[in-house]
Amino acid sequence: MNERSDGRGRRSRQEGPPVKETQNPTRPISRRTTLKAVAGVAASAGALATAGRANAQADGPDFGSWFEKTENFDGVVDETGQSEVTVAVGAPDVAGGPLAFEPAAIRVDPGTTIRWEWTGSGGPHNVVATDGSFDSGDPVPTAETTFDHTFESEGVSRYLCEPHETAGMKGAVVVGTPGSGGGGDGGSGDGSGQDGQAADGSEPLSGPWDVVMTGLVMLMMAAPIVYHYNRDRVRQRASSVVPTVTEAPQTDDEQVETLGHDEFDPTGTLSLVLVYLAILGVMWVFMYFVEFLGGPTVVG
Amino acid sequence: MSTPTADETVTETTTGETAAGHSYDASDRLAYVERFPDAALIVRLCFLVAFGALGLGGLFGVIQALHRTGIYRGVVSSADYYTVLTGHGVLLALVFTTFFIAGLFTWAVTRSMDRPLSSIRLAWAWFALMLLGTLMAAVAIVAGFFPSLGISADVLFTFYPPLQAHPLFYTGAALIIVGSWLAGANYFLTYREWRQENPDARIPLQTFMVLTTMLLWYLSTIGVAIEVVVFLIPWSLGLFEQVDPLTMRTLFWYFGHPVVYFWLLPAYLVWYTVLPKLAGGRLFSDALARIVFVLFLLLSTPTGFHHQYIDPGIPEGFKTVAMTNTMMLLLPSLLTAFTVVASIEHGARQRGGEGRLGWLRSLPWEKPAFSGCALAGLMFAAGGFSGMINAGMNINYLIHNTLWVPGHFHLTVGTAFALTVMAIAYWLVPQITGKRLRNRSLAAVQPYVWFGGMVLMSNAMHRAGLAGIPRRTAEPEYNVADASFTGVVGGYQEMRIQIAIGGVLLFVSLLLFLVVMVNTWRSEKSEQLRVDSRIPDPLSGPEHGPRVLDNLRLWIAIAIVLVLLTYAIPVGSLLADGVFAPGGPTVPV
Amino acid sequence: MEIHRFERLWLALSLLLILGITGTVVYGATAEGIKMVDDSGGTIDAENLQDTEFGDPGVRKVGENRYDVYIVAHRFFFDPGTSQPIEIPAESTVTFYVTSADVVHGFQVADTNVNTMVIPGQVAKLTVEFDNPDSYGIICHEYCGSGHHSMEGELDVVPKSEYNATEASA
Repeated sequence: MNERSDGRGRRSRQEGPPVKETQNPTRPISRRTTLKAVAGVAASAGALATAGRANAQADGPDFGSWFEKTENFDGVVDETGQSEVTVAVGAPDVAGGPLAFEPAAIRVDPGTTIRWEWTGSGGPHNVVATDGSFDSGDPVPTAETTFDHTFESEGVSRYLCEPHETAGMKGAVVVGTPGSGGGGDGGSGDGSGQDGQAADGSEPLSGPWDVVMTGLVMLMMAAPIVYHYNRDRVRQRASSVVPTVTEAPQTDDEQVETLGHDEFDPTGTLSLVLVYLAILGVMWVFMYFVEFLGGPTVVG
Repeated sequence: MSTPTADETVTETTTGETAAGHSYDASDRLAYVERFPDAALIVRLCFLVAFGALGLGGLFGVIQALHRTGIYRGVVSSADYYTVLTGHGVLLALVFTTFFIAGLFTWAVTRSMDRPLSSIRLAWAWFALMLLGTLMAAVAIVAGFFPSLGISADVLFTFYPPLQAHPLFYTGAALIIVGSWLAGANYFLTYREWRQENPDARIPLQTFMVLTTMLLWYLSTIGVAIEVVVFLIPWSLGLFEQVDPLTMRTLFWYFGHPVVYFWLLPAYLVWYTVLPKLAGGRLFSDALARIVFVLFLLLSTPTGFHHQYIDPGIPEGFKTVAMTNTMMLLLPSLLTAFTVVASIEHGARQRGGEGRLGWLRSLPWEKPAFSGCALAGLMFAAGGFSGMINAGMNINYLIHNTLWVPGHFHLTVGTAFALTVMAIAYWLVPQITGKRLRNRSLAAVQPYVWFGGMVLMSNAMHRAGLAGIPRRTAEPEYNVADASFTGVVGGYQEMRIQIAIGGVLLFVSLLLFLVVMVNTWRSEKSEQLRVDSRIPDPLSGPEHGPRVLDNLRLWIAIAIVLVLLTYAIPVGSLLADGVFAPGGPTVPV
Repeated sequence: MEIHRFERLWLALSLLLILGITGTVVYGATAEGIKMVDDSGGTIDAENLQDTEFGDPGVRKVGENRYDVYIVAHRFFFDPGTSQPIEIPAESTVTFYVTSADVVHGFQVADTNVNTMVIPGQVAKLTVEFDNPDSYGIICHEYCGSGHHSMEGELDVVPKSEYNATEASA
């Protein structure tokens, strides 16, 4: 079996063909109007874009795209002030559950022990840190299995469940308030996004950036249309150099004889369609009586 | 029969000026781009968007083919695979199709009625609306690769709730549909003008096909329009807490089956009206072509439950009715097979072909417009068989949601439609741009590469489906089920390799097509094209068929009655137990 | 209206083909007794499954060689089926009741014709006869999210003698 790519596969390009600048300066008006119209469209679509669901997450360090597929990620839950904190493994009643750690991201004091406790839901799980600092071993499904790890130093540790990584079963532990001089993060498993050094309050991309990105993508896709439209308008106006296009003169070179309505019987066609009918019949009988009626079937 | 039909009327004077002010000589027949420059621009823009969507959708397709077969998984993660899959489905099955068809139909009505569109402003309006919808939906889908944007639509082409996409996605899709409605209005208004000047004439065949297809489209899009506008957009904006997934599926599949005929009938338009001429012959029977289109108008929509054969909550009686209606739908396609092949045979024999089957060699296989359409028709015959299996109600258990289903539709929309599009583009693009086709040797080989790739990929998909391998899955390897994947013929690994190779060949073929198109588009206009658009009269013309065939009002009325008979009670009972219930919690993806 | 005699022949044969195909389907439905999944499973409140029979999913013996199996599909596992296999004895008639706790899923017993959609709010009821001991994989074949491809389960049809000796999983 080929190895599965992790959640950080390369992004594929989605832009349309590159925009070419036309050199002709003599029609500024129509081009500007068209571009304005497209920009207006882009802006209104951008507005609609931001009117949609709000997915942006707020407090805590910037996890980049670590939690992109983790549906129960709801910011960093504050579990400071306790010496032992429990995280459910295979939480059934959350978004994306039971393939989820709940809470997905927590903040604890240095010296806290985290106990991961399996619920028994969602099949086999394990708890593996991306920097290798802790690992609960082979995935197991059993309820009430536990795994403990004590976090001594400040930083951000990311971990995941190996069999369910692509389904978004991931977590993070924020120890202390990293960024104020303490140790860096617990290693990065992804190749994109930054690891935030700021404390609570830094916001990932949202709001006006959505509008800008939406508008830019739309502009890039509309650009070839706009370009072509304007090029055609140029052609029509600079008509003196454009020829009148005519079709090929009709020749009957390849025709050897003329067959009128009463002279033609499609015998070849009849043969072909009869063969086709025979093939259909045989294939149907095979499919129905051999393939289909072979195994256990729904009878009620 | 030599009474000129409307198809044959040519605007010619001895010498004169075109609309754009160029002079010409009477013995030359003007290219479409000169006769209808405004419409030609609309057609060009529609094709531009369509081919762009085809290119991007095809790129997504080859990424998928390599990923799910395990050959190469480095482009996207398996979670992002579903974003790619959504893009592939929407760009190809919604954007590529609708835009190309809008362009093709614009060409067909102006050409066959020999008059410009009734309103070019309306044309700009529907094009802009469709384009806006496309951009919105595309942004929503592609933003799924960038999680920090907070926008995504990883819901696949069928967008079944309770999986929920961003409202931008649903709104974009709705705008594409509404734009297409306006395009239909444009065609009908043009027809109405023509009718006032020609009160007794039979509807020109191409226009007849366009109008019946658009009537089918209006009838069928009602379902998805209600689903999206009344339910899903407000739901995605947070105005409704939940929707009933079964009701939404039912509304979707009300649309989801006839939409495939919205894709197929334009291919049939090409095969009936242009392909005989490309083969050097004449259409075997105009009246039969009209009958086929009327049958599709009547029967396409009341069949949607055959996509829901194993849905709980729908009684077996409704499924059985859908099955019988679907089986009747085989008839117009089987009739098409006969008429189209007979027309091609006529052409071959006029070119000197002889013998029971030897005439096949006398056909212009070196011309890609012909070969592409012919190969598309051949593959469609195979796809029709797998469609019969899908339709067989209880045998559907064998293959539902397995890889057999994509095997089937890559033969039908993926070849009968897509390859016909590419083939006819070689013939039509010169006429709408005024430029000769470039890279003709690449074009000549392109349909064969597509054919080869599709034969490999879809036959392996069919066999894999019989083995039980599921569709819509990024990594179809399972711990226990793998052992059950016993193939009919050939092993599991061999099927995956065939799918991968086939997919790559298809992508190569697509690149060949795009190279030809780009080079042609960017070249200079020519004085004389190598194609001519004259289409000879059919062997048996419209006068040999009853006038009632042209009575569009009658046919749409019957179609509406059939739809009510099939859908009124089921939809009524689905809504009766709660418009929004029973349902489940909303899951944004 | 003029129809060429070959075309009339083809029309007749096409209609015969259609009748023949429909006939085999009817044969399957009647003589072989194959039934489609329908609304006999009823509707259910997907958000309160714990108050229904699905609150305690698993295999239950309901008669001589008759068993009911209640299965709930979640993102991304079957309960039961994923964390422990579903066990039923050979030579029995089993009725599966399958529903979803969240989104639309699929339920297919690989290498059989046991195949249904699983829709929240609806209960899919399928009755199947298992004659021979075998081990089957269960697959979810309808896209249900990013973990869809890892969603699978196991169905074990054990020899009758072995089954009596083990506990039916609750």
